[in-house]
Amino acid sequence: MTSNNRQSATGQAARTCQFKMVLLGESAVGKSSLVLRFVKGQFHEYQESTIGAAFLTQTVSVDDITVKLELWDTAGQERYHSLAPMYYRGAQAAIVVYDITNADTFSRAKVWVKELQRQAAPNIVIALAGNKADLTAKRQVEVADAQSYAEENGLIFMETSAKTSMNVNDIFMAIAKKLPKTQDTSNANGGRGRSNDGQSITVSRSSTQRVPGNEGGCCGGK
Amino acid sequence: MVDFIISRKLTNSDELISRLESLPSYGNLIQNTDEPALFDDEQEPQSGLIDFIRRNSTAEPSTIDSPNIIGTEDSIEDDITTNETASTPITATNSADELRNQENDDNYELHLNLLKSRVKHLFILSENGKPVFTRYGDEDQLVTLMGVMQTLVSFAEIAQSSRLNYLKAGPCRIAFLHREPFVFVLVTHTNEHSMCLLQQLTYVYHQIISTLTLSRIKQKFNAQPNFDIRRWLSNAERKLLHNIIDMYEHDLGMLMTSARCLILPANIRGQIGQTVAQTIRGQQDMLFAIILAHGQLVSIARLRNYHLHPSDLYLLINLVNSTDAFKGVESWVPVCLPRFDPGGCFHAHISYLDDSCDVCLVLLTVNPEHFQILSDYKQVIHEKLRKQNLTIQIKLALDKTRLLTDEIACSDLRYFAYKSRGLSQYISSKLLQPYVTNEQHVRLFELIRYVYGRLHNRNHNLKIVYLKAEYESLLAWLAPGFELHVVFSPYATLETVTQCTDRILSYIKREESQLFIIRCEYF
Repeated sequence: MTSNNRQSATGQAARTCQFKMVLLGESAVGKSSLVLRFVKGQFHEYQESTIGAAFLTQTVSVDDITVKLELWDTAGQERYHSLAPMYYRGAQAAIVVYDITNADTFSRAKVWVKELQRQAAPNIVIALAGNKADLTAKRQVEVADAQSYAEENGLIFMETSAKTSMNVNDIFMAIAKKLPKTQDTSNANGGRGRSNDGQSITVSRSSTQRVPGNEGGCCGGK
Repeated sequence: MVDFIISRKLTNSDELISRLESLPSYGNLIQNTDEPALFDDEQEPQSGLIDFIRRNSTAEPSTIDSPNIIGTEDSIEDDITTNETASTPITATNSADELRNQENDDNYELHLNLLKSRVKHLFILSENGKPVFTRYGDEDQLVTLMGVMQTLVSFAEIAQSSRLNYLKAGPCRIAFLHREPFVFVLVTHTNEHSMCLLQQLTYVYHQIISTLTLSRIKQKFNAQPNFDIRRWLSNAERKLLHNIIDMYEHDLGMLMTSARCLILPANIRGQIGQTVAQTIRGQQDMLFAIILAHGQLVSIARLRNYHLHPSDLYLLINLVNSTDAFKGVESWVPVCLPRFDPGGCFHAHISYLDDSCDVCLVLLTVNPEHFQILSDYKQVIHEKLRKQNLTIQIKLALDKTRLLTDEIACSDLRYFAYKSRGLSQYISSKLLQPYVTNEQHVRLFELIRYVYGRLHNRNHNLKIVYLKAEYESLLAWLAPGFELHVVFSPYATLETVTQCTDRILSYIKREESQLFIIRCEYF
């Protein structure tokens, strides 16, 4: 997996897209474990609690397009909830994670979905991940329930296991595929550029033109 | 067997003072440098300062309100009786960790025994008596006890209209700290000075507001006086509390409110500091850029006119040291530094500069939207330090264990800690036999804190305390430019003490430039 930096992005002929993705969910459902499995291929049985939020990037390839995902792995503890908007603001994708062995975390996931639908960008791609799928003996949330909830709300849904890596890449890839590769202005401030420091930026209407000094969010066809 | 030689009381002590003060190395060290201070340990916290900086640097509306709540320090009467054995061995420290593991045990009997044991207990409760935290055991089992503590505190405040600071009950000392909306209680069997007990409690208080911020806590308690704050204290936050309590017992820097620097050649440190400062120059929202390695300060660059208080630095060190979650990722963490501004909140960009996660970069800004900017700075700093081989230099310095005692070569010398009062930084030798076990380490530092308490007692105005205890002799010396604590073997003679102190001071004068950060770096 080659990491994609800005220099190579400008030099490449292939299209490069950059998206901001946020992981939300109750504490200890496995958000960090999913991200670490996806980005580094690692799994720690005793993953330490995230403090604040952790930022990681991963580059994947979808239909000849290089997609750079900027992942915001947020802390699940209650005291951080008020900070969540800071992370999902400007995000083009979100994974809401729950733990299949804990019904409360599923209820909490629904609250997150509702909050995203109300507060986040209108075209945000949301996925629901029922993590810890390897612990079937302790299951409290039925697949069918989560499936039907996801369908009603137009979410991508998969049960995942960061431990066995089941569906981990798949759910990230499913989102990457669903992300609009020709999107324009609405997501301009989602990327890693200096665009989202509170100032407003005029963004070119043309989706194939990169805005000078702003590689955030849109697909620069250079 | 305890024998005190306190200045001007015994003829012997006069001799010690005059001998020490006539040392040639003493004259070299007392001058304060003209350099602006890196730290300011006299700095008073300013509520609303972060808000002010944010408003001035950008036109963004501020969202964090900043109530003006800073408690005044109450001075505490020194009532430690001097005829008690100062070197009481701490028999129970050993079992402390085992005891903590029994948190889930429901056995009430066990809890009662735990409370009676001679470990140093620390409790936090809310003003209305709700349990928040206990160092050992399970706070749910301590509802009654915490109720009693709350009653004692509020009785003193209502009936006597004064604060309850300190209680002695037989061999037990109990220190109280009431900081709205919490009450902090410490119970100990040792001879530590009440000043130190209060200081330890204050660190715990600062740790709580550092993670939760005072304004948020107050808001919540105002709206919901019965709120169970434990909902905000998950395992990660509890670990921070446990660690700050432990750290205080193992680190003299927290006691002396001074930072400890990694020993590094001055030119290397200079290059690191300049690289960081040059990268960031021009930013108005970023206040501090700190490089830490294994809890030691490598470099600090800052915006002119803003100081970091050493006790706030310890909160950052505790945050970085308490978790592996910062390793391999870039983290964005809201953190309150109470000695800077108890009402506001910094946003810290925390990341490591090397693959083995030894060298940590902490960037502090007042602007919550500036993650990208700080992340870019990090990339640049990372690259520059790597290209100039400076990251490797830091790692080499880390690998090089400096005992310091062997460089001074004095057979009766066991340990020393030297604080430069002008720089608010300290250096200490490595603990060797017999202090390599945790039990002995804690015991020695308790003894040093006892001596420290005597030395700093405002009523006595002492310059030197010399304590001959059962297993060691301790010298504490408060001079205009420095503070020195030296541990000798119990058989050290006056001659040895003087000679050895001379060597320590000469050594520090000689090596000063690599032991301390002398120059400030500004963005």
